[in-house]
Amino acid sequence: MNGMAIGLVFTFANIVSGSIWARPIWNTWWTWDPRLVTASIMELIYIAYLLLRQGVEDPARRARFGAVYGIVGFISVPLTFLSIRIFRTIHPVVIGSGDPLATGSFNRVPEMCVAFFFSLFTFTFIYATFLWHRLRLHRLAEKVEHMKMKVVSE
Amino acid sequence: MFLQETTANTFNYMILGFGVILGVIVFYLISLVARFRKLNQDLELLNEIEVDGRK
Repeated sequence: MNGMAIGLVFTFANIVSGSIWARPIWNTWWTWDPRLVTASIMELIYIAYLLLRQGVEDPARRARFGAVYGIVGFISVPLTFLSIRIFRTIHPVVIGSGDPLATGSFNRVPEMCVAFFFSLFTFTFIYATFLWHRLRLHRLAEKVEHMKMKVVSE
Repeated sequence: MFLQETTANTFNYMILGFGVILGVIVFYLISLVARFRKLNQDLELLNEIEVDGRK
């Protein structure tokens, strides 16, 4: 749940910055390319997951519904990753770009590798930091909930 | 004639992209801090109520 919320923030930044990248490269802010569509659907699926969790009061039911929805919703993650390999697309294949079957394959030059691995390391670090703070926040929320129950029962 | 012979200058788009990423991260950070503050206030209030209840 905590990791998913951070993933939602990162995916949003990814879609918006991707749109900015597309403007000079594809000459448009948005196109109905399979990768863009599947990434947007994935974002919407996880927004719905957050809404679902907020909408169910009972903690046990919330956890059960959230788990089932999370498993079903996760199908969108590999689908988004593979969309540029399965469907005909103009989106470049960044990971495994040497794959000749991929429509958008290209030769990645060393400078691009440096930028890619620097970004990978940086965003992994930011993700881990956010996750740690989210877990602290979650524990604090549980403590507040416990105190509320205690005060109400007295 | 119609082919572009020089590399396109995409510097402004790069700055805009980094700006958006930074903005989203800062916004999320602020929302986390706000939630921490609210929960700490709630906890203080609940502690006060508990102490008052014991008196």
